[in-house]
Amino acid sequence: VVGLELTTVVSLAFLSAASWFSSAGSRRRRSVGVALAGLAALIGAATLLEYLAGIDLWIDRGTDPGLLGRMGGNLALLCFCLGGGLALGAAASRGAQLGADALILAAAAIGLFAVISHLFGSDLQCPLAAYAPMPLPTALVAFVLSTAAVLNRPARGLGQLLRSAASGGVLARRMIPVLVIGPIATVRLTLFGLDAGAFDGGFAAAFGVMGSVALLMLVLVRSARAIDRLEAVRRGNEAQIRQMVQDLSRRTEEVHHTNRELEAFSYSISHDLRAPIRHIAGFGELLEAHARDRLDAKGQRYLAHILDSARNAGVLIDELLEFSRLGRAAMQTRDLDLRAVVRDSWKQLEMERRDRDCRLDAGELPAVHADPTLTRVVMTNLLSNAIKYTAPRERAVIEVAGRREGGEVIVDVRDNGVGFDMKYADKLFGVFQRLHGEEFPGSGIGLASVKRIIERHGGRAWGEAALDGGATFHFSLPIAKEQP
Amino acid sequence: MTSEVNRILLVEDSQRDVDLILAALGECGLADDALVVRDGEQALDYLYRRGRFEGHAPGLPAVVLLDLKLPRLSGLDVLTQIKCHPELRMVPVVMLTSSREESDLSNSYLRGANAYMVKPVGYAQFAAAIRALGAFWAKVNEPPRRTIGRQMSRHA
Repeated sequence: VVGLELTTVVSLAFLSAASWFSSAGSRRRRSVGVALAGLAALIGAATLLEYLAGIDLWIDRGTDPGLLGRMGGNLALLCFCLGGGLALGAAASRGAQLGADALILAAAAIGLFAVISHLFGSDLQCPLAAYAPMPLPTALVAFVLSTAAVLNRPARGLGQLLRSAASGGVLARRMIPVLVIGPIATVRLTLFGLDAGAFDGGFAAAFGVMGSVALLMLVLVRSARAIDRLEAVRRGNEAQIRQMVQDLSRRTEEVHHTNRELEAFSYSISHDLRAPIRHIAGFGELLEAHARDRLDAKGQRYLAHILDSARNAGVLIDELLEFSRLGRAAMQTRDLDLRAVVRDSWKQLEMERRDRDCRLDAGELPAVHADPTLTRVVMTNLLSNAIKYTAPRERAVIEVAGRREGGEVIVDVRDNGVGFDMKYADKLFGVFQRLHGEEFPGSGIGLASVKRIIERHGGRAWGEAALDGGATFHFSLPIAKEQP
Repeated sequence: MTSEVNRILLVEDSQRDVDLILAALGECGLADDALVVRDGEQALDYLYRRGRFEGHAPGLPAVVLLDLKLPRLSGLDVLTQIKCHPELRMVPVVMLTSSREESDLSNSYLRGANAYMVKPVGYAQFAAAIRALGAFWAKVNEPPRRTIGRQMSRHA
């Protein structure tokens, strides 16, 4: 029975603990890991020094005879490399990281060699005095620890490749068993043939070479096939992407074209349709002033109708142009305090609520990320509606409140006005759609503007009400990027 | 007091608009101060004193009221020519138009327009706006004098 040396037990215990602590969350535990790894490296270095310089540093002595003795030079080198690698890996500099990679890889190679040597007889002799065959448990522990250290470096080196989810990583993981088991089997078979006297040295060498060539060919073919397959997929993807880019640019061109047409249309309405309406209204008013005395009641009523219609048409055209402008205007979004927007809009509507008992209750309103001008248009339109449709109430109460929901802010604007029939709720936000007659003036473009602006921000707008039971309009806007 | 120089140069192709504007200017006694030309070429002829305005009294109008949509030379073209001329650029130009289009607004101001007025649909508001415009530019505002322009162009 080969006794375990005290230094071996301590070093491997330190290295195990260091591996455990190296991926710990807390900074303190990680520094404990570094210290333990450093100690293991020191023990390894001291043992190596004893072998190389032929001196005794007294580190191998103990009271229990079972634990006496000096660890082998190969294990000492492994401890030095693994301990040093783990300690260096904690440093941030690029040089330290490269050094850690090299040391840990070297440790893994020594560990692998120790395990493999057991497959060919554990008492392999080496002319170097410092080399000592490791007992299988020691070899396995050393191998597992150093392999774990390689795999535990997911940011770089071989560990990164072996753990990668990309094709290279998949290929490497598939090849590793072939690359490890293949050579062992080949050499084992060669030795077996030699031992049995089935063939001589030359034949054994040829057999070994042939086995290696066959193995490498297998790896080569598998890798080449994998690369070919990946390339075929990539070509297919590229063709698909090219097609998509073409489709996209064609559609973008179409959208640009439509936008240009829309702009030309809106431009033409601005200049060419607004002018005649203006002339009808203008000359109508001049005629009214000029010929009022000469017109009888009927004539005056006709003229009043002409003027009314011309003015209405003018208002409609202006609002339609405004609506179109809201849809095209460039958006400049920023974090926005909705309370200020409500305050400004309410102030702007002073004229509309004069001589009325109209109260605004503004509750909590989280900040949003939106275009200030457009958001103000939304708020003014909703508040103006609320003021308008509470006109029959002796005491109008309008409530505005908002809340966070997911990544959005949902705002409610509630009134105690005449409401509307939910049957027509889907018509609310349509252009020129009105749910009320002439008793409430308006063109039916306000809510269409609200919806358009909100949708340009990626939000939703909806409303609910009961006939004669007040209405509530909701809209959502993106939440502010910076939370106070 | 020389009365040959008109204080207001109105550049407007639509007879109906001319009538409306003159009616509004008439309400503040400025109708006689306005000279009406019907397109951009004539406007420049007047300012350069060439063509049918050759031999016209020297001096610049206190303000040019300029429609945007004009036949042949557009309002923006006329504005550009005025504002690129070393002396004429001093004359205040007020754009007078039906359009509230963003592009019209920015193009006008970028080319040096001094003001931009959208003609309101209702006559009452329209007349009030024209009266305010006439009162400010032709009465309140002190227009540039030609001599200043000469000195400036010599320095330039």
